[in-house]
Amino acid sequence: MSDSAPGGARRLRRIFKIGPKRPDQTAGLEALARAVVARLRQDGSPVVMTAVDPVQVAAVTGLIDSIQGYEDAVVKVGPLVVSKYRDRLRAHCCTEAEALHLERHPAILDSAADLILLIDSLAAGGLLPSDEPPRGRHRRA
Amino acid sequence: MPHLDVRLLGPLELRVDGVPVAIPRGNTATVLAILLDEANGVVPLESIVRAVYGIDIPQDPETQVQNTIGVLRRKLGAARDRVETVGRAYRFRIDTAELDTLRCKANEDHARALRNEGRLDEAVAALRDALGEWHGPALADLSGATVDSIRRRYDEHRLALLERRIDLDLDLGRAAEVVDELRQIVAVHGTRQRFTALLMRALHACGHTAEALEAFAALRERLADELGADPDQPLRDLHTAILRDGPPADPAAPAASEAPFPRRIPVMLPRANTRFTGRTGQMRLLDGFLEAAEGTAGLAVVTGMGGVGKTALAVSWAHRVAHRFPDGQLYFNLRGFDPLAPGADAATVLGEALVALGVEAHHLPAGLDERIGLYRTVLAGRRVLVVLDNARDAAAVRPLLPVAPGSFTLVTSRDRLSGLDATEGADTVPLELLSDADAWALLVRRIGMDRAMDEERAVLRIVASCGRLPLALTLIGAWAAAHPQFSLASLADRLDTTTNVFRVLASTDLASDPRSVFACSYQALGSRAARAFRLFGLHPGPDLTVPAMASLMGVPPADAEAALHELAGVHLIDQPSEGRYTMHDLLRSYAAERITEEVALAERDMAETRLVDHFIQSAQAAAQFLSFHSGGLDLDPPVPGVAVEHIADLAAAAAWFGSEYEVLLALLRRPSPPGGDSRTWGLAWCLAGYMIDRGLGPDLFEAQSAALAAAERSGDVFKQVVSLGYLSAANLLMGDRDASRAYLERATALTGGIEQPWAKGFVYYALCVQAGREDRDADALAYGRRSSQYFHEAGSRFWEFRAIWAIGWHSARLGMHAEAREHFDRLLAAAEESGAPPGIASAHLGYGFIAHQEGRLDEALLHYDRAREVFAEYGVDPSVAYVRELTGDSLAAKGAATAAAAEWRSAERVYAEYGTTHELTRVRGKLEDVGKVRVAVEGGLISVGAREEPSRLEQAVRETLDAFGYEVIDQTSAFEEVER
Repeated sequence: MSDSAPGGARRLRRIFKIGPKRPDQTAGLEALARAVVARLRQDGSPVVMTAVDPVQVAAVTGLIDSIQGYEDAVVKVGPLVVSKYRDRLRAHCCTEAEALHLERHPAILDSAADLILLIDSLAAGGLLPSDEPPRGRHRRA
Repeated sequence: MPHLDVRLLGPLELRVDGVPVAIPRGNTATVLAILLDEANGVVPLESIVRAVYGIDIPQDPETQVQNTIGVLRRKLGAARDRVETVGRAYRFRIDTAELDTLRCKANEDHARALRNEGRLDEAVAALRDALGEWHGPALADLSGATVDSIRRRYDEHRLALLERRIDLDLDLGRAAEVVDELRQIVAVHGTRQRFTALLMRALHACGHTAEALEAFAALRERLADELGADPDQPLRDLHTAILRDGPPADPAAPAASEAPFPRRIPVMLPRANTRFTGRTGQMRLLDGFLEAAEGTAGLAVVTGMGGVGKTALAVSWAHRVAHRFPDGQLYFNLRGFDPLAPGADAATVLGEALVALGVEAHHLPAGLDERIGLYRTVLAGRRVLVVLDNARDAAAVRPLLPVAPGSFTLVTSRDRLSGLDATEGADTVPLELLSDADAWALLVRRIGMDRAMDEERAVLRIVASCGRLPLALTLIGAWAAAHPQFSLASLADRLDTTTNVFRVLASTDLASDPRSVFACSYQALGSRAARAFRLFGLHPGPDLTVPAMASLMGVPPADAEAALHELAGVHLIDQPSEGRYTMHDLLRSYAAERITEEVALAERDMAETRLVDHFIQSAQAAAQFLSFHSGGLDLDPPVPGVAVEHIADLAAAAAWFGSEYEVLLALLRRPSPPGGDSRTWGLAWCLAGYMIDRGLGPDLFEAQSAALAAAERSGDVFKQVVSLGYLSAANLLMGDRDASRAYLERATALTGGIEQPWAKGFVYYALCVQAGREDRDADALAYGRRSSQYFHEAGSRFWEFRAIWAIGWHSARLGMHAEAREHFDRLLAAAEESGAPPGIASAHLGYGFIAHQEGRLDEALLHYDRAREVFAEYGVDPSVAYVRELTGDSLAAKGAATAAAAEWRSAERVYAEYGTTHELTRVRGKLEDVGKVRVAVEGGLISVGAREEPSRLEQAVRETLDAFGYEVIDQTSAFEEVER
C-alpha cells in the first residue's frame, strides 16, 4: 500500500530568503548541504562527522536532532532538502537540474513522504520525471 | 582652406565658413547630393548624366552637367576647389568633420570597435552620436528618382543604427528605459519585424509578458493584412520562448543563446580602392539583387576575366552596403586562380569564419560537414555580408554559403559559376571590359588631363591597346606617370607592336593573358626592382614583408624596401597594410614565369633557402615572447643574406605569427619543402610552441608529421625523438590519450639508440606533462626528476629549470611541501641570477600553491599577486590566466565566493581565447559550482504538518545557517497554513 499521500491535507509553511551575513565570509550553502547529507546515512541513522568546523558540526547535529522530533516535516535550504516522515529521515544535496525541477514542481515540498520517495529514487540513480511531452512519430530517435 | 559644413541627413544644408549657401533646388542640388554621396570618390560624368536625367536625356547632356557643376562651384565661392575635375569625372573633397554622413560613419565604426571590446556603454553613446546627425528624413527638401534612392538608403541606415543601439541597451539591462521609445517606433514602423522583436524582449524583461505576446499578435495581423506574410522564424522562436516563460532572447541570435558562442561582429573587408570609378550599372544591379533578396539568403556572382576589376567592384560595393549588415562582414580570398598555391581549403575558411563570428577555436569541429553545419547554425538569425573573392568553381563556394534569411553572399570568379545559377539561384553580374569613357577616365586620372589633352590620339590608342582592361590600364598609366619624359605616342607605338596576342585574347573575353602589358612594365624596371618582381614568384603569398623580400634577394632590408617601393610606384604590387606587400595573382603568375625562365635553378633554390631561414629565425624570435618555448635547442645557422623580422614585444610577436602562420604552414605542406629536410624540421620545431599554446592540435600533428618524415629521411634519430614527443603532445591536445601514449612509447624506444641526453630529457619531460594532465602526480614527479637529470647532463639550463619547476609543482600537489619549496628556491635563485622574470614568477606561483595547500591563504594570495604582475608585464596571457585561476581557488577557500568567481571568469576568458580545452573545462567546472551556490542563496522553506509546532525547527535552521555564514534576510515572512 502506498503512503504517498499521508497525513492531513493542511500544513504550516514558511518560505524565506537567505543571504550571506558577509559576502566574502561564507562557507557556501553547498558546504552546508554536504555537511547535513554527510551527517546521515542513506537509511537516516546518524554517522560521525570528521574534519568539519566544530561550530558547524554542532549546528548540523542540532538541525538533525530537531527534525527527528517531528512526525512530518520538510526543510529546504538552497540545494539541501531534508525530509522527515514518521520514522524515515532523508537529506539530499540537489544538483542544478534537480533544484530547477523542485522550483517547477514546488508542491512536492509539501509532502514529506513524496519527497522521501523522490530522494530515494535520485539516490538510486533514477531520473527526474520528464517534463517533455511524449515523442511524436516524426521525431528522430 | 575654407571650412565646410554640409548636411544631407535632413534638409540639404551647406555652409562655407559658417555662412549658409543657398543651393538651387533641382539639378544643382541633385548633382551636389550625388557627389557627396560618393564623398572623396570619383564620379564619372556619364554616371552623373544618367543619375540626373535617367532615360529622359536632353541634347548634349554632358555640357548641361558641366554647366551645373559650374553653378555649384560659383555657389561654393572660396571653397570652389573642393569640386575637382578628374579626367571625365568629378570628385568632391571633404573632411569627415565637414559632412554629417562621414561623421555618422566614423561614430558607427567607433561603436563597432567598442562593442567588440565589450565596452557596451560607450558603444551605445557612440551610436547615439551617430544617430544625432539626423535632423529629419535625408535630403528632405529634394525630389527626383536619384535623390529618392539616396534618401531611402540613408534612412534605412538610420533604422539599422537605431536597432543596434536599442539592442545594446537591452543587453545592458535597460529594458525599462527603452520600452516607451520602442512602442513609438513600432507604431510608425509597424511591419518592421526587428523592432517588434526588440519591443517583445523589452516588455518581457520588464515583466509585461502579456503585452509582449500582444505585440507579436498585432504584428502577425499587420503582416497578414499588408503583406500577406507571416512573422519570420526568429520572431516566432522568440514568441515561443516567451510563451514558455524562458529567458528573454534576442531573435537575432537564436544560435548564440543556445550554443556557448559569444557574438562577435567581424569586419573583414579589405580597404576599398579610393580611385575606384565607373561600374555604376553593375553597382545598381547589385543594389537591386540585395533589395530583392530581402527575407532570403541572397547570392550574387560577379564574373569576368582576370584583371577586369571584379575584386575592386565587390569590395567597393560591400563597403557601400556594409551598414545593412549590422552583424558584420566576412571576406575571404579563396585564391581559386592563384598560380603558386592551391585554392583555399573550405574547412580552413570555415574555421576562420567561425572564429571571426565568435566561436572559440577549441569548439571548431574537425570535419567539413560539421563545420558547414555549425557555420549555418551560427549565421542563422544574423545579418552578415559574405564576400568570397576569386572562387575557382561552384564547388568551392557551396560549403561557404549561408542558408538562413538575412545574410547576403557576393562571389567573384573568372568562372561563370553557372552551377550556382542553376542550383542556388545566384544572380549574376557579368563584368565586361570598361566602357571607352571609363577606360579613358581611368587612364587620364593617372597621367593627368593636360598630358592627355596634348596627346589625345595617343591616349585613345593606348586605351585600345590595353583592351580596356582595368589592370592593364592601371599598370600602363602608372608607368607613363612615372616617365613624364616619354611621349605617349612612343608608348602607344610600343604597345601596338607587342600586344597583338593580348588584344585578341582580351577582346574575345576568353582568357587572361596580358603578358605584353606586364612585360611593358617589367622591362622598364631597374635591375633591382626587376629582381624583386621575379622573386615574388617564389613566395607562397598572399603577401610579404620587407625582411622576407630582403632574404629572398639576399640584400639588406633597405635595398629590398627600395625595390618594393619601386614596384609599388608602378602598381606592380600593392601595400594593403603598413609593411606588407601583395601582388595580383596574374602578375605573380607572370613573375613565376619570369623567374623560371630567367634564373638558374641553383640560384632559385638559394633564394628559397634564405626565405625559409628568414621564417625560422623570425619564428624563433617571436616564440621567445609568446611561449619561451623554442629556447634550449640550437638549430642550424642561417645561410648568409637572411634578414630577420624585428620583433620588439609580445604584441609584435603575436601579430607576426598571426600574419605568417598560413605561410609557414604552406611552406611545410609543399611536396618538397625548400631548404631540405633540416629546414623542414626546424620550421616545425619553431612553430610547435605557438601551436601548443593555441591548442592547435591538428596543425601540430600535421607539422610534426612532416618533421618526423624529414628526420626519418635524413636518419636523424635525435630529431625523430623530438618530433615523436610533439606528436604525442598533438594527440593530447586532440584528446586522443592512447595515440599520445603510443607516440611517446616510440620516442622512448628510440632514445635507447642515441647518446644525446637532451633527447632523453625531452621524452621524460613529455611523459611528465602527460602524467600531469591525467592528475598522476606521482608519475609526473618521477618523470620530472629523470627529465631534470638528463637536461642537466646535456647542459640545457633552460629546459632543466622547466623540469625543476615541474618537480616542485607535483611535489606540492602530493603534499611534499619541503621538497617542493627546495625546488622553487633553486628556480628562484637561478632566475634572479640570470635575470629571467618569468622564472621568478613561476617560483612565486609555486610558493603560492604551497601556502594555499598549508592553509595560509593570505600568504598564497601575496605570492600569486607577485607572479601575476610579472607574467602580465611580459604579456604571457595563459600564465596570467592560470595565476588568476589559482587566486580564485584561494579566495574561494577563504569563503569569498564572489571574488573567486571574478578571478575564474577572467581566467576563463583567456583560456577560451587561446583554445586551451583542458584548462577551460577545469575552470568552468569551478564556475559551475559557484553557480550552484548562487542559485541556492535564493531561497529556503520549512513545511510541517498542521498539528506540529514549527518554531523549534525554525530555530535549528537559523543556527545552522548562522554557522555557515548565512542568515534569513526577510524577517517579515511568517508561517502560513496551506492546503496540499
